[in-house]
Amino acid sequence: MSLEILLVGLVVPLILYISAPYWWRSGWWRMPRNDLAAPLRERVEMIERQIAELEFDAGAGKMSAADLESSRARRLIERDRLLRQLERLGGMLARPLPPPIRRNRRCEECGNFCQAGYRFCAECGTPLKPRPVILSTERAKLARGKIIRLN
Amino acid sequence: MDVVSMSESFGIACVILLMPTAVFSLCVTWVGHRYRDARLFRSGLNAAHAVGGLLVLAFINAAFNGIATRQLSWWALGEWLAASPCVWLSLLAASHLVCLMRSQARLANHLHLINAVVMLVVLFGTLFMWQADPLVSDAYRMGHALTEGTLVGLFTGPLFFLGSSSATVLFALTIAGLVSRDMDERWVQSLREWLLACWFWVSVWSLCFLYQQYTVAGWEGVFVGDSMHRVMLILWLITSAFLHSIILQERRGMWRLWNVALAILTFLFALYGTFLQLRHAVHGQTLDVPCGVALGLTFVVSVILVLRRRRMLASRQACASLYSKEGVLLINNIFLVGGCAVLLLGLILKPLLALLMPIGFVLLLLAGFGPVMAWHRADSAALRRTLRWPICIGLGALGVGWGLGLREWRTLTALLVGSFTLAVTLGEFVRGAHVIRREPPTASASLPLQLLHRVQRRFGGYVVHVGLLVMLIGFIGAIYRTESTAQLRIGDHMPLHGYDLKFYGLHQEADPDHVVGTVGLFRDGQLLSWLYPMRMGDPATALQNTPAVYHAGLFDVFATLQQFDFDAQSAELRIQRHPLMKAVWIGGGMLILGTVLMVWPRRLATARVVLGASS
Repeated sequence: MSLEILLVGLVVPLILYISAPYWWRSGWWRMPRNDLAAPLRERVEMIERQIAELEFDAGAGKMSAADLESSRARRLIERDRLLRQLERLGGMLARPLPPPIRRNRRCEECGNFCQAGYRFCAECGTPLKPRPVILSTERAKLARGKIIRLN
Repeated sequence: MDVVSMSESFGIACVILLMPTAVFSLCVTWVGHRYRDARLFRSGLNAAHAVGGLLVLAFINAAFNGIATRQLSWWALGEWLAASPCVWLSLLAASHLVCLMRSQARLANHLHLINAVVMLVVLFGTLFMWQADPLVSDAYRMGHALTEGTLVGLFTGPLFFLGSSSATVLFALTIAGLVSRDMDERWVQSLREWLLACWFWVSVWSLCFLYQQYTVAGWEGVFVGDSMHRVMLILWLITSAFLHSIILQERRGMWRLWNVALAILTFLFALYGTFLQLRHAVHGQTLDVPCGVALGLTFVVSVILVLRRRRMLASRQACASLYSKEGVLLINNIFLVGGCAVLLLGLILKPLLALLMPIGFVLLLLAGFGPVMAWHRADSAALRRTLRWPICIGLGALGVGWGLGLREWRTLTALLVGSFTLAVTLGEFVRGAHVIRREPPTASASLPLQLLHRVQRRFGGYVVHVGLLVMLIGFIGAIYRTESTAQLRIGDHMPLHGYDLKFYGLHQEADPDHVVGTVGLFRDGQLLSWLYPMRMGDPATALQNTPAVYHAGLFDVFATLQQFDFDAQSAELRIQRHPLMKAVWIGGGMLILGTVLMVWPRRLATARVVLGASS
């Protein structure tokens, strides 16, 4: 078998494969496009992770409670803005939106983390301070820079 | 036509088709993207797949040809794998295909640029394929001693090429981001993935290389002896600096310019290392000039591109205080890149290499400070509280070392810094466990798993830090290596730290160049093992001296045949006792484990955390 025959034997399948988009009718041959929802969703997930890490750091004593609250509030506002953008994209979402966070709260007296919805600390019985809640129904107002705080 | 000729023709046919296919892929993908022609664009991507296919075919063909016609041993195959442009380009094509698949939905606007950069590198690499014939090169004979006797030798070459391929994809992503002016979070995430891949392969390759040098070539602690060692260490330092600095870009939008510079440097050194690796296979080193031109051109084009995009690369935030995590990461980067500069300047001024050890200690100290620092500005009171015990433990370890009679400054510094950093890192695990324990039990997973779910990357990094500390024990142990040399005749004894060695004579292997000594290792009159140190070829070349190793608990005993007189059956034997070297391999294992923990798929973990919190 000479070099020429080998070349032809390689060239034919090569050309067939490279030209496949022109002779093989398939939905696969469309222009790759960025999934518009994906970066927003990933950003939301990243903020979730950052909040989890902040709470973790605060629990480990690396951050004061005031720093934690301010950092968390900033991220929650950003997260909400992204969720609104995701809602606008609507049908383009491949996965359901992440549910709103109902984080466990920390008792200011003993430092114990209490389940969401608890009004008293399960460890020491101290009343837990209500935390600002951002309602999803008020997102339109958030867009105008207003935060509704329900105590 | 016989099988050999057919195989050679097939290899030539593959290489002939490779170049036009790569050029076609580069141009057509670009044009398809420019005019938004989906079919044209997909044709270009298919051509990129075809380039990968042709390279794999060429690789399989070359391996078949080598084994079938030249009766190569498996060990020589390892040497071929380490010096074959076919292997390099096949692994590069495989990495490129993985990158294309992962970037379809994520970086659609970058695909044609990534493809263009990789295809240019492939085109350049085919020059080596034309000129090099590693199957008949002298690399086998020269490197036989390096590969004989260990399976690790089979993997060192491909591992380096994997690291080099990851660095190429990393560079392609960087150039794509710069040209398209699109460097959003998804781009940073992709960059980080390939950076971790590059760092991981370089780390594993370094470990294999060290193991190879230690067990087969009789490594004596001279780590930065030749160019390949130097490139290995520089690549590891640069990728480590990049791994730390990219955290700042991801979290705070800082150091974008610096990160791009590190990506370019990573590629340049990876390419230089690849040229060094392949040079053994190229007759007469005729590609030295094109290699230099390629490196220079890459550097100039990258610098021009970076200068044109300097405004886009400006940091979004400034470092508020050095007394913060940002500050520690800044100092960490300065020392890591400073280590690279020392290695490079060490080529001219050898005494500068003595600075490497202090730089290593500072870096380990920073590994202790980094985890406890907060972003933006650290809380002094909290920091004092956290660092109180680690400092006490460090000073305590130093006192114990001094009390035990240790006076070597490197050992005492390692005790102080190592125990401080270890205490901080373990303290982080303990604090994390406390935080998890204080939370209501929502998951059935065990404590370590919950910790990983919460802060996966961070704890993966801590495992890597602990691994490096364990490795430090091994390197410090090398200071206490003992050795003795003696001229022995048949039946002579030689004592060494409780061991007794008896020389039983010399014999020749099938190859007349190979002379093997037989030594019995005894302890309390009991035979522990037979040792067979070997010497081959020119007695003046150290690389061709393969020592015999006996692993005894915390110690390794090496026997090396220095000189011999075959007719008189006498030999000059050097016996070495290396303490604690096993710590290097255990630490290396931890380093790999930590990296795996960092790259373990995060989506599952994140989803569980979010769902767990909301349920």
